[in-house]
Amino acid sequence: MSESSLSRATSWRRRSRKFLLGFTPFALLAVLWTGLVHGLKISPVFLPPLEVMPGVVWRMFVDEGILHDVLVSVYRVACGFLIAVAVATPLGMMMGYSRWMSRLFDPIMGFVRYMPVPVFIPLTILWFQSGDKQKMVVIFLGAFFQLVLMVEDAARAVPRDYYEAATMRGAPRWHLFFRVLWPAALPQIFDSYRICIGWAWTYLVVAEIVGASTGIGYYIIKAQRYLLIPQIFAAMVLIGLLGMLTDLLFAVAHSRLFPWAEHSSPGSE
Amino acid sequence: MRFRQVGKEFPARPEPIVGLQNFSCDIADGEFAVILGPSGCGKSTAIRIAAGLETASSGSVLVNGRPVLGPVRDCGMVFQAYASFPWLSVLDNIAFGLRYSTSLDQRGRREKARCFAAMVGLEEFESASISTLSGGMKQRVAIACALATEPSILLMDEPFGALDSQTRLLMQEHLLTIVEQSNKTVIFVTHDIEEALLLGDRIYVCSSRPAHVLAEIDVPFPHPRSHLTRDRRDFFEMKHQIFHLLREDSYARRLAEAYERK
Repeated sequence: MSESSLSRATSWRRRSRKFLLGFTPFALLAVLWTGLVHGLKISPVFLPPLEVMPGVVWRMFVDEGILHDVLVSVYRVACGFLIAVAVATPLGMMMGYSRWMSRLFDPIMGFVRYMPVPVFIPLTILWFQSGDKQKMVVIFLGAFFQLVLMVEDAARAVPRDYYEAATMRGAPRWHLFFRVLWPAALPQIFDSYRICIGWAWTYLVVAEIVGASTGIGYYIIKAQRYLLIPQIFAAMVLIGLLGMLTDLLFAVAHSRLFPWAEHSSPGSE
Repeated sequence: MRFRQVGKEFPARPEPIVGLQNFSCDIADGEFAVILGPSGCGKSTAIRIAAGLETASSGSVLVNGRPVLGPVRDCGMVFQAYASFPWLSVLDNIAFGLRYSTSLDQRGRREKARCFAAMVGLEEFESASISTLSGGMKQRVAIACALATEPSILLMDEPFGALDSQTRLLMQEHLLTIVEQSNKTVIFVTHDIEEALLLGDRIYVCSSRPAHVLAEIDVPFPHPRSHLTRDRRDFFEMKHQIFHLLREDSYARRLAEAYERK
């Protein structure tokens, strides 16, 4: 066996071990679930048996066209979140860079941030009618005010030493923003995107539960109305999977884009 | 470069901390000057004022006869850490400052950066990422970055403080070779007496805080110097002389403080 194929084999083994480790809690959860349902004879209204789930999921995709709802929801989250990113990133960076900007905007951001997003739902319906645009606005409101402050923190965490090093090499003050602050803060800003998009999903479902006719949130509300408990569970699992996938994409992109800023953890391989 | 009765106070409660007081010295062109003093005495503050990164509370620093008001073109600086940017490769780090110090296009800048990478022995690591380098290599990048803009004055703030003693000695010798070939003025801050004697032409020994110059010592060892210089008899003698000077100062300081408390 050649050296490279040997190392490939060990890396494959390591990866499969990692996967197995992460899969274990899922398996335990399934065992617990089945045990509860059959052991305690729990009514399927409260907790549907796992073995009916594949059939339910099949029907959801084939008969009920859940894929369309998923795509609509993904579209809404993506747009709302991207607009929040596009506005929050430059603003947060300026607030982290200049004390004047942070003094100007910090109080209002901290104030709006604590306003409960669901309260905005009736208002946004009033202003934008209940369509895609309104859902995006809700997601934007939920994500933006959190994100601004996280980006500001990331910008402020850039060591002053980097600015001084750049200054001593002749960089004028207005170059520091793009040549030092931006590249230095970007990995942590990217991390805040990753955290924030999780919240965006929550706000999406909140928005789709009121005044919607498509989307995963709407699907859940509809299932609730007809007491289709297995469907509620399946939709929840679907959102979980989408979230996991998004998170994975962010993690991969982070390590590809910023290999110099890899997180280290104790006891890592 | 001249320090004229430089004083620096940092606002603090209950009373401001005095970092420098009446700090004066004259550093001749082409001299390798070492500012030697105990940790926390304010010697780094002195060099930061010289670089224009901080302003003096009183007195002034003159570079080529002109007072320092902000970051000076003519000065390159090597910091103890965080001196190079981890998001750039070694070569791009060195080329960073060339954008401001020269009118070269990007290709010319890379060409020139390549020379300086070779000067510090990093020609094989040009495209390496900073985060993959060892501590000694990182400081070599920092030195190349500072030299690349071709300043007439090189300010070094404990640049080898974070390195292990083996690497530090190698770096000291490396710095000697680079500086012996140029006619740059170097101001080097350290708390290490041996380092001061090995590198410096003249040593300004500082008191503990607030720092002022206790003594100016001319170092007579001929160039080129190497680690063998440390084995000279007069090296030991001077080392002891400086050691006692610093010790007396700290004793005197402690006595005075105890007296005041009574």
